[in-house]
Amino acid sequence: MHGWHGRILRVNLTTGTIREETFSEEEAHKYFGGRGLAIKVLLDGMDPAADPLSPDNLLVMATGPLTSTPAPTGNRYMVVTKSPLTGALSNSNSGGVFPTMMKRTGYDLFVFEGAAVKPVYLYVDERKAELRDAIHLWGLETHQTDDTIRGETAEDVSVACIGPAGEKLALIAAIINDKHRAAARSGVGAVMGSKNLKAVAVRGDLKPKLYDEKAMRAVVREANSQLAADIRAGSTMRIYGTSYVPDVTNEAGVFPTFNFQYGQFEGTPRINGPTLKEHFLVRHGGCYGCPLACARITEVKGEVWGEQYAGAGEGPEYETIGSLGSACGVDNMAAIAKANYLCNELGLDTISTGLTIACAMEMYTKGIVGEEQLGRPLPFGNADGMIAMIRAAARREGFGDEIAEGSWRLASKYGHPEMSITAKKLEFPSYDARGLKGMGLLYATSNIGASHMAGDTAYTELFGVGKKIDGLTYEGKAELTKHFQDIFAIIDAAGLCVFVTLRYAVDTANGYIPIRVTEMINHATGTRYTPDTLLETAERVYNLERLFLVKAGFTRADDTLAQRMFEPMPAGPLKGETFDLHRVLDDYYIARGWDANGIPTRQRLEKLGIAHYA
Amino acid sequence: MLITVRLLASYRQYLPPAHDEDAGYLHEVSDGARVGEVLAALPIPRGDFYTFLVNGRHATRDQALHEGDLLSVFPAAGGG
Repeated sequence: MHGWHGRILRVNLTTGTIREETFSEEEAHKYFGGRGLAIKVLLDGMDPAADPLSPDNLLVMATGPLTSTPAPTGNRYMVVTKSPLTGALSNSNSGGVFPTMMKRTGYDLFVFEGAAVKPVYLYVDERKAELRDAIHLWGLETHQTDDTIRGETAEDVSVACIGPAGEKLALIAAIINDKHRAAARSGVGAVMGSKNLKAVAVRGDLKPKLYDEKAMRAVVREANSQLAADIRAGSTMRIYGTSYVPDVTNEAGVFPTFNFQYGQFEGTPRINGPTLKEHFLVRHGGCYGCPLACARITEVKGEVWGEQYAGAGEGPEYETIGSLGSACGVDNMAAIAKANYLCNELGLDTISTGLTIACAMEMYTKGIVGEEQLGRPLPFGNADGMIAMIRAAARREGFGDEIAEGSWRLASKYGHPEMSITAKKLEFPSYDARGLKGMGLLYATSNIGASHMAGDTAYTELFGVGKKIDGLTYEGKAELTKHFQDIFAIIDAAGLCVFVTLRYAVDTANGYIPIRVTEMINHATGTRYTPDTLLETAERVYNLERLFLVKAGFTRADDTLAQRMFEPMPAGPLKGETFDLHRVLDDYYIARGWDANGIPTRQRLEKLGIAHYA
Repeated sequence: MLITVRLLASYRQYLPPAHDEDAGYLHEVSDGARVGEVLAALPIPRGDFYTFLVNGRHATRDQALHEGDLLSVFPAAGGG
C-alpha cells in the first residue's frame, strides 16, 4: 500500500487487549482518508444512539494518506467519536507534531473501545503498543502530563492528553497535543476521560511508502516555491498569524461582541494582530514541517501586565480572541492570552469555554444569575472573573460545574436557551452568521454543529480569497456551503491543514477546485482521482457522517441556529440584518440529494455506493 | 469630497506617516469617484490580492463613493 500503512491499532480498554487490524486499498480509496475510515469504523462498530460517555462509544484517532509525507502541512489528524456535548458526531482536527509521529508508529488509525477500570495511557513505539498505568498522571495538567510521560518513555515522544477538564467529564474538554495544540471541539476530551484514557504517546520513524515519489517531490517543490514567494511578499498569515482577523471581522460587523449581541467591539484595537505582535510575540511557531508557521509563541510578562496574567505558551488565535475577548467584552490582550494558556493547560476548548462564560455574563447582566450562584460578580469585561471561571470549570468547582456543561445546558437550565449561541449545542466560531449567509448555513447543517473547520465560507464571503462574493446574499449559498463542506472534508481526510492547503493546493480563483491536492493524493497513494471524483468521494464521507446523525435521532429541526441569529443586528454595518434559514435550507438539501427532512435519499446513497449503511 | 481610508492587517505598514492606524485617514477624492479608481491610487503593492469593503459591506469596483464613506482594504489572506 502507498500513502498508508494499511494498519489500524485497536485498543480495548475494558479488557486491556490491543490488536492490529488491516484495511484494504479499496477501502482506503472508497472511504477516503482518516476522516472517511474513521466514520466507517464508527458506523461498523457502535450504535450511534449510544451514550457518548459510556464504554459503548468509540474514539478514533485518524491520520490521513498525506500525513507524514512531504506534502506541505501533511501534519494533521482527526479525533472522531460521538460528542457528549452535542450528541452528534465529533470530528475534531489538530496539527503540531503528534499527528506526524502517530503516523510514524506504523499505524494510520488508533481505535479505542470500552473503558479502563483505572487510568491508563497508550504508548506506541514503532508498532510496539502497550497500555501503561496512569494513576500518577491523573489530576495533572497537560504540560505536566506531557513532561512526565516524556521522562518515563523517550525524549522524542509526542503526547496527546487530557487535563483535569477531560477527567472531570467537562463537556467542553479538549484533547491537547504537544502542549499547545488542541483537537478542541465538542467535548472529545470528556470521551477520553470517560474511558480513563489519560494520554496517547507516540514515537517512531516508519514513514509510509509513496506511489510516485518523484512526481510527489515535483508537485511539492512547486507548492513550496509558491508558498515561499507568498511569505517573501509579506504574507499576512506570516506576520500576524490568525490574529490579524479581528481587524477584518470587526470592520464587517461580524465580530462577536457581548455574546453575539453586537458585531463590533470598541476594544478591537487592543486585542488585534498588531497588539499581539508588539507586546507579546516571542517568535513564530509552526506545525511539523510547515513553511508558513502561523502559530504565535507568546509570553505575558507579569511585571508589565500584572502577575495574575503572567504566563507563556502559544496563541491566542483569532477564534480565541473572539470567544475569550470580544464575546466576553474583554479588551485586555494579556488576560486573553492567559485565559488561552489556562485552557490549554487544563484541557478546555477555548471557543466553547469563552462562549459559555459570555453566556453566564449575559445572564448576570440581565439579572438571571447573581453573585449567590456565581460566587462573584461577572459583568462583561471582567477579565479576572473570566479567568476564575476557566479554572473552576476545568475542575467543576462551584459555578464552574455549570460552565463545564457548555452554554446550551447552562442557558436552558435558567430558562434562557436564547442566550446560548450554538448550533446543535456547539458554540459558534467568531463569525456572526447574520453577515455571512454561507457561514450561517454551514453552522446550521454541519454534522458537528457550529464549526468553522467544517467548511469556512468566510474565505470567499469575507476575506475574498480567490474571489470576493457578497456575504449578505442568499443566492448560490446552498451550493457554496455544500462545496466548502466537501472541500474541507478532502483536506481533513488527507491529513492536511486548511489554511495552507487553500493557499497553494486548491484553485480558489476558479471556484475552489482541489487540483493540486488531487495530484498529491494520487502521487502518494496511486489512486487515479480527478478533482471531480475526489469531490464525490468527499461527498460519500459527508453522507456517511450524516447517516450517523440520522441514526442518532437528528432531524431537520436540529439543522438550525441560535435564536439570536433570527433577530435583527442592533447596530453597526449590519444593522437590521437577520438570518433567514428558510431561504436556503431546502436548496441545501436538494444540492445534497437529501429529502425535505434532511435525510440522504436511497437514490443518492446508491449512487455513492453506501446504501447498505442506510 | 472626503472619504476615510482604513488599511488593515499587514497593509497597516503602507499607511501614510503620522496617521492613526486604527482610525484610518481622510482621503480627498473627486466627487462621484468610483471605488476602483480610488483603490488604484492607494499605497499598496501592485499585483497584490486584496479585498475591500465600503462602510463595512461588500462593494464593487464600479460603485460610486459618497462623501464620508469608509473604504477598508486588507489583503485576501484567509480565515482563522
